[in-house]
Amino acid sequence: MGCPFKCKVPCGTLIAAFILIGMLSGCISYEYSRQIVGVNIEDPGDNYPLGTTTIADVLATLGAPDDVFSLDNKDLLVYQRSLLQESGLSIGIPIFDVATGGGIDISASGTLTRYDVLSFFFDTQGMLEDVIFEKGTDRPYLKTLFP
Amino acid sequence: MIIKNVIFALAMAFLLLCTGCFVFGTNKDDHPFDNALLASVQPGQTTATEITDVFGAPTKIVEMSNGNAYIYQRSVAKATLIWLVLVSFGNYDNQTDQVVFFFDNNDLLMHYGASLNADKAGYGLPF
Repeated sequence: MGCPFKCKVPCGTLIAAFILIGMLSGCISYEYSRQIVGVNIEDPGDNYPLGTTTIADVLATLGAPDDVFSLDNKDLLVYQRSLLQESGLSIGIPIFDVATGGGIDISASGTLTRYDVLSFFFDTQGMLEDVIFEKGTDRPYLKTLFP
Repeated sequence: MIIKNVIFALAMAFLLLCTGCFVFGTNKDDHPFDNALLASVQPGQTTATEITDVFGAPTKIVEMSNGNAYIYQRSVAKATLIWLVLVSFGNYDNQTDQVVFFFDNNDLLMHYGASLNADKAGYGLPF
């Protein structure tokens, strides 16, 4: 009794392909996700001279800060963007579970969050005292995760 | 013939590996700001009480060296998820509309800043 279907590809090949995929599914899986909070932040350069720039000047050019803090005799405006990257690789061989009763599962994952932060420090008169900028997202993902 | 069979099997395997599902999601935190209301705000004239009458309770209040800052925040997050047999990908984009009002010690508005970026949140791939 032969194959009831008149296809050109042998049924054995098809069955082998399905079995192979069935065995592979769940064996190796890779996941990667990214989360962005906030818009891009550019290097301020020399656009905000110390001693003359006011809070109003910064608000007029950059809009509302993401956070506001009050320190000792200083006010702090913070503009921030965060980039979270998460990846994971898992390897398991479920066919071994069936054959031996014990399974082999190996998994590795890493999560890295990097920040772009632009901070403005103002004195009690509202004049700019200091500017700090850091572009954390420019750092390479893998080298930062595994230094 | 053998090569054709191998190619066919590989193509079938590839198609099976591509099976999966896509998910798109949106999460909105509160309603967007009304630009007309923002335009009516006048530094040097508008008071803290008038701001709260129009915009409601602020998300956060920070005591500054010379007054207070009222922070209003709305956010939109959009997620794209792809699940395939061997790989899965996720992308989350969270953007906010934020307005910060700075008041002096007499609760009179000194200045304010607005960043309206919530509509920039989008779907997409993580690479």
